[in-house]
Amino acid sequence: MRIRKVETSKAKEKKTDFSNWLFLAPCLLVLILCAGWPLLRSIFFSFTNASLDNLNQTDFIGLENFVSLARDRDWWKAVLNTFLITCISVPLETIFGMVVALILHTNFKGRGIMRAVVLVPWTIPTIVSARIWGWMLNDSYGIINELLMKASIIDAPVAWMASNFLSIMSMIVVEVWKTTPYMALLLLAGLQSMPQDCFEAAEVDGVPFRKTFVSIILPMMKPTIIVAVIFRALDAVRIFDLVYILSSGNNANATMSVFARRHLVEYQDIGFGSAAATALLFFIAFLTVLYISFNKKKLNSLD
Amino acid sequence: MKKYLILIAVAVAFSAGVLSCVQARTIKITSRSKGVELELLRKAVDEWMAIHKGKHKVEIITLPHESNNCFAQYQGWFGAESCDVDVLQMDVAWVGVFSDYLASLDEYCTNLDMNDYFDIIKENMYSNDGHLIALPLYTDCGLLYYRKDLLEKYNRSVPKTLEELYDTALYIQTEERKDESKKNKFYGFIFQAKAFEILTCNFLEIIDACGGAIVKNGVAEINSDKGIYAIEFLIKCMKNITNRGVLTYSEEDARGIFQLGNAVFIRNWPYAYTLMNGPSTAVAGKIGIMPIPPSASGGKESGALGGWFMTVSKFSKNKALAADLVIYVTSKAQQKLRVASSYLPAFKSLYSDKEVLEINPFIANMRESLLNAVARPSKSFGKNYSKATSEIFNTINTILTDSLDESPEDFKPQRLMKRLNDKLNTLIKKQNEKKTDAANDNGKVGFFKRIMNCIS
Repeated sequence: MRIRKVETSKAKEKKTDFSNWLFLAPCLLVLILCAGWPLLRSIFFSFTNASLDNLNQTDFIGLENFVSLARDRDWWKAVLNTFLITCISVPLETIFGMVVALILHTNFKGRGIMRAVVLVPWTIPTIVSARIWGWMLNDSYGIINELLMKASIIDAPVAWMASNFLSIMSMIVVEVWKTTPYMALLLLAGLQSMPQDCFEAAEVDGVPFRKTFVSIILPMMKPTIIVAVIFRALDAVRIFDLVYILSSGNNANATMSVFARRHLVEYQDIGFGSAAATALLFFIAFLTVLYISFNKKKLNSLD
Repeated sequence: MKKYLILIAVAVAFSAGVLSCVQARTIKITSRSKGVELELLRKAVDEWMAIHKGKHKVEIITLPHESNNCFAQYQGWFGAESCDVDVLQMDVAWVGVFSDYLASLDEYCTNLDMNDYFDIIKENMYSNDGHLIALPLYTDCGLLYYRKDLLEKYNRSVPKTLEELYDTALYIQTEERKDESKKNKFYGFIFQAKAFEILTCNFLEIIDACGGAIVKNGVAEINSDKGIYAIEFLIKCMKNITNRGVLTYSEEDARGIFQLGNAVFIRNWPYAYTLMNGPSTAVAGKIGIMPIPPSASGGKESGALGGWFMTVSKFSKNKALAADLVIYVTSKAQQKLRVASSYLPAFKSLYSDKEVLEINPFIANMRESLLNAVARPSKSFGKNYSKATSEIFNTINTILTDSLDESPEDFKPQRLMKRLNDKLNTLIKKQNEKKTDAANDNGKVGFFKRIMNCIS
């Protein structure tokens, strides 16, 4: 009797296993077509000297593209810029996001509306907000210069996008402005899933907020924070539209994806551009592996 | 349900795309939108549709502002052999680059008077094997605009040399800035140094005015003494008489500064003349124009040749109709209408046409400028032109940025100029090799191509 039961459940399992795949199939198919195939193709192209206007004369050239990529100053400048933007903007976003999340977590009138309002920068398409910021940062009629001059912080208009350092910094500011809401949302979800009794106990005991934050909220939020940071880092490494719209067009303040696009689209150099895109993929893959391995650990610890 | 709806919408959109390619009663034409270009084209197109009694439709596709982005877009379309677009507005420098993808207009243009076009423009209308592939919509030539009232106020004459331009600009800037309200926002000379095609044009003019060239007889000469003199002139301007923001300016940003009355000199295309004289500007009626003056160390009056052509894609399904539209919008009558907005005609005879001179007297001086215009070296680079121009504007933009940011000891423009020169020479060599390669394996379809055909 007992054995039979086990058997049926196994058969059932097999059946559900199969139907699982059946249900997954359309999604997988679309994924393979839309993501897998182009991805493989661009990796494949990175070993050739393909050029968009003349695919007749395409040859395999092995690792040549990667060698010249490694020698290309502009590429390393782009890598540096990308990491600068990522390493500065992601921590800032996390801090600001945390502050916003903590505020939104408290009980106050109009909280629902505030939660929606805070999301606005995130919901505006990047291309639009980048244009808006471009105007605000304009050196001769931008509002930012006007305000800073009125406040006597600067005495001459600053051309924000005309120096490498300032333009990267401005892009970081815009990036932080744009993605803090997203970070706040992720962290707020984490905060809300925390058991409320800890807070209540702390409140009853009269623990100051600073201590509650350091010894209760932070440790319990750690998994959420790590996941959120990795998510954002993945996104930030691919940063494209903001840089593309805001920068003066000089290679010196390009990021990796802007660099890859320039070679792929502007120079028609599919081979070299694909190599750059593939290298970018490796950076992203590295971060993803980090994420997955962390996730596994977390799952194991849950078991 | 929602999913299905989306799927259906996608399918409909897709099939609509395919159908519009096949049905071919709609001509798709690209247009730039700088200044009033789009409006003018729309008007011309409406007239054309009225002539055809609404039988054919025209859809205008607006192009991105920066011409490099248009270039990339076109390469994408041509690379995909797309019939999404029939008529393409094309920069004078690109016709040679794209000639393989353009339909011959020979059979449709039998009654055009070819001798009435300027020679420098005519050179760019034909493919290498002699087919007519492009008709000029309007032509363009870099100009120096100056504030007549300010020169008068400070008792300065119109500059005859680049050096004089610098001195006058510096003097007036210093004087004007004594006024508290203009303290930090008045500039001597504004140009366009955004790292885009426009910077290549700006630099080309200066180097030409200094007696040098970017490419001469198939060799890059940007690092010659004259080239170095030109870049040093721009560095000097950058440091003393211009706005740091020019490093991020294209035409329209620069126009804004001048139009608000915050500059003495500005380099821009002719289209800006009418707009800057518009009713709402601070400088209406106070503007003079002249060519870029020669350097005192030798050189000639200059102005980069710009201008846009209309071409028909080889992949268009309605070539005859498209050619008809091209001929209509580029006709003499249409170019005459554009004169009111300061778009220069490509026909020589229009420069002495009484009506034209009445509409816009400014045109009279432009004939001389066009005869002195200097063309971008696109032919030396062929398909690598986008790479070459990008090397040029990136290097110049970097040098100008560094000249402000780096300490004088670290700042070595010569090294960057030399590297640029070497890169340009490599690109020229590549282009020449390509030509011989193409001649050698004519028509051979490689193993690789066959694989590519299978997988794509």
